[in-house]
Amino acid sequence: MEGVSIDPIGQIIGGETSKIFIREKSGSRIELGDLLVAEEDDGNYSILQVKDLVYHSQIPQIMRELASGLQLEGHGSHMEFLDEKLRNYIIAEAKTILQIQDNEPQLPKTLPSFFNRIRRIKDDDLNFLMEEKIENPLYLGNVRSGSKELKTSIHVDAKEAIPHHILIPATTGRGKSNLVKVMLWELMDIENIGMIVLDPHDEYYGRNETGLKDHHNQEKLRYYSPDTSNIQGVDSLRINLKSIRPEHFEGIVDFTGAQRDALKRYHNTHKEDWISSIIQEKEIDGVDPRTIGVIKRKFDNILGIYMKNDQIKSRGNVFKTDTGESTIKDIIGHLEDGRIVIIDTSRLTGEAELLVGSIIVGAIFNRYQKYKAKGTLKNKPIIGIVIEEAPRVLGKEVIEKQGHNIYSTIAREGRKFNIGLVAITQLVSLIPRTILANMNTKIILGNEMSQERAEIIASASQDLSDDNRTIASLDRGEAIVTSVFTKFAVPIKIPLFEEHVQDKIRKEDEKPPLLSPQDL
Amino acid sequence: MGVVEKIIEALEEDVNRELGQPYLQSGNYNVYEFNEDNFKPLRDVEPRLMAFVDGGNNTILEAPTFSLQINRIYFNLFKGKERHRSSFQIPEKIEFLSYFNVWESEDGQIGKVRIFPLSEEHREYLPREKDLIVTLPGPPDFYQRSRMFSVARRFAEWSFSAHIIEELDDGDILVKDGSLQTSFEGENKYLGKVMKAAYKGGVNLAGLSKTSTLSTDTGNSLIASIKKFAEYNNYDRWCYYPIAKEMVESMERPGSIIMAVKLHELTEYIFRLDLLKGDDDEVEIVSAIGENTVDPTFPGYPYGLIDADLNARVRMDEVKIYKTRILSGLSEDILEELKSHIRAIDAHERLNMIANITRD
Repeated sequence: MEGVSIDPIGQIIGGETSKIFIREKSGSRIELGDLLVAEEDDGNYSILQVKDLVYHSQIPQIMRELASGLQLEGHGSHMEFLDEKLRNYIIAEAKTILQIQDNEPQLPKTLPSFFNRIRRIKDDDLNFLMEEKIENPLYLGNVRSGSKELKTSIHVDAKEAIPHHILIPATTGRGKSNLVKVMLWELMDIENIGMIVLDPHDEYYGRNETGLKDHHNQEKLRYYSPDTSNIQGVDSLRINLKSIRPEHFEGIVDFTGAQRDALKRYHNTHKEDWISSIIQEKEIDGVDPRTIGVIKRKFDNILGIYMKNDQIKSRGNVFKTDTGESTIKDIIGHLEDGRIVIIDTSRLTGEAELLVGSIIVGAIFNRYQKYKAKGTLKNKPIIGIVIEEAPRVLGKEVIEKQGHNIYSTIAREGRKFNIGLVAITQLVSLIPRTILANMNTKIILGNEMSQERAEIIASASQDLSDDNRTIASLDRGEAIVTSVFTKFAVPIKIPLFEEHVQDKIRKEDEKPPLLSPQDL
Repeated sequence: MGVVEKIIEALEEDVNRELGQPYLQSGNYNVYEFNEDNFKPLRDVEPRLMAFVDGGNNTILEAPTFSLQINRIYFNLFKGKERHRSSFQIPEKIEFLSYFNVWESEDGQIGKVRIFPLSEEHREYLPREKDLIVTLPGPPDFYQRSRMFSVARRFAEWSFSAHIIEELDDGDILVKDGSLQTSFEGENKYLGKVMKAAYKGGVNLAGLSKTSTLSTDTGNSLIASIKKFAEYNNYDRWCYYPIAKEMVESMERPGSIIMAVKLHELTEYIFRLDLLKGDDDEVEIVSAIGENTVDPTFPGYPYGLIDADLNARVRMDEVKIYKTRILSGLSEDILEELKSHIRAIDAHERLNMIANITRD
């Protein structure tokens, strides 16, 4: 107890390994999720996290009810609890999440001393996080104690974490997009990582607001959009129909067996013109014209291509017959150069968005398979794929009904080829456990749905069995990082993107211009 | 007439008995007849510093000829409703073991007490062993003697109170659980010392009794009679005095007064209060004590005494610890011998154990 150098806010009064009871010092306002420290005389200490808060009183319940009644019914003017702070108090139920012995973090195997006084965590207590050598640090946010943000920042090694897949589960309005923006901004400074970002809300580039376009390292960024008007530095998203092969639809579009068979036959017969041939309803042996009619309508709905005046037209201006031959190749090239490629899919249907991703991801996956076979994979950048509403391609039902797609293949096998997913979802429960188990980093944002929380907890890399309420109560921008690459499930506060980048943009602007040889 | 009806009739007779007039067995008091003018309303007053004192004891070992008790005396300080941190030079709690045993003397059997403070520093607050010699009531009866086992605690309450008073200032109040009357020979000496010290320091000394055996000359409970009598006034909280005044020959202090008090408007409880006051007005002092009785757990009873009781209470788990330590330190021969003494009276405890009842 002598080791306590700052104000104690509570004292351990009992409990067990999974639930330590701490009496709160009156007025300390311990919060759910608060990180607390129990110091030992030998300088070692335990970090505890508050899992629940409970009212306790030395006054029997019946007396409290009576006292309340007296007050509510107007008889309590001359009545008040004496020694109120001593007799009525809050017990915080906490769990030891880490023990620091000789400055080395260890998983807790002992209880902190009985009656040990507890204080709030401070940045110095987390020095072991700073001291860790992370080669390619990807900043996620600052350590958070309850709702209080510390200065200690949390990083994971991007080149480790991305191939092992990252899952971001959260409900609407809890800051998913903000987190991805912050992560992508930070990845802009990390070399040898290529990211493909399917952006259905066109929000990451920052067409009309602050975004990745404001990062100083513009060389690393490519932005593809069907809408190139009034904006500089944008690549036109035009994909030639010749780039598409039947397997790109696998697991993305619900074709019947007969339809799938027809696709293959058309591809075999007409090679890269197979889609045009279908649109033109060129008949081939063994394929029922009615089947072709259905496929044609599906292509119209999904790709926006149709026949008009004997010509193939493109409604969305993305899938073309006369242009965009090199788009996919270019994108693959950018990724192999370690660039971040944002694809604005805001004008595409959900299926078309996935199809675009499928074409790109399928191509890069094939290439990386070859690199591995040749033994050159280690020289290639890590590839990450950011995908929203992940159950569209990783959902149990989708996989069961339509078979595996390139995304689910990467979820299972991508790690071997240095390709990983950054999957975002509101509904974790739709994703099979086998895939969830492969997602080795989870950045858990707030979630009100108990079934979803149960799935998140069950698949976490650390034991979060006591964090059900904590996850429900995570406010916007608050998260828990559970990862095989972190010592413990770290509560973090993700900075607001605009605030996070503001200083960095300013600092970059203030840098003196580089001197030319003439100046020298 | 059935049994129940007979009992109801007997109860009605008793309840409807005439109030009568206050009656005290002790000849040391002047007793005053009921007078409705003796009711005084309490008022809102400036908070005063009050020390609340209580003691507790529990049995570690007992046999017909000896008893080993663990005793604890505790005090707290309140200023009105607020707990006051003690800056006194005395501990807030003293603890000691007392060993009572029976000796044969020319005048019959006497009880002697030896005292073992848990901290030697606490010895100065404890009574002297030579003062703790009491003549046992005859004929020898264990259950009459058991009352004697608390003699050390009672004496220690007075001796500790004398030290507390030394730390209090003029106008402060020391409130002790129980009356300002004594039960044991030699106890008067200790009470007298406390009273003199209080009077000398201008400290008001009060004894509040949760239960009272005072009666009227018609056999009614005196407190119940006053409660009935109080129905004729409209006071929410009041004190009634004097019921009796102590007669004192010495000029060193005045006599104490016995009063009845209703300390909170929402209470049904009326308590006996013995008061030895300094220069202050009685109503002022009782009103100041009343300020401490607003806790909803027991309105009308000072919270300071509730707290003192809780802290002074010796619980069974503490007893078990000492019992184990003492018995495990005895040699086998002595232990066997001791067991035969203890077994002479511990059948009741054994029955409790069988019934899974633990005495607290």
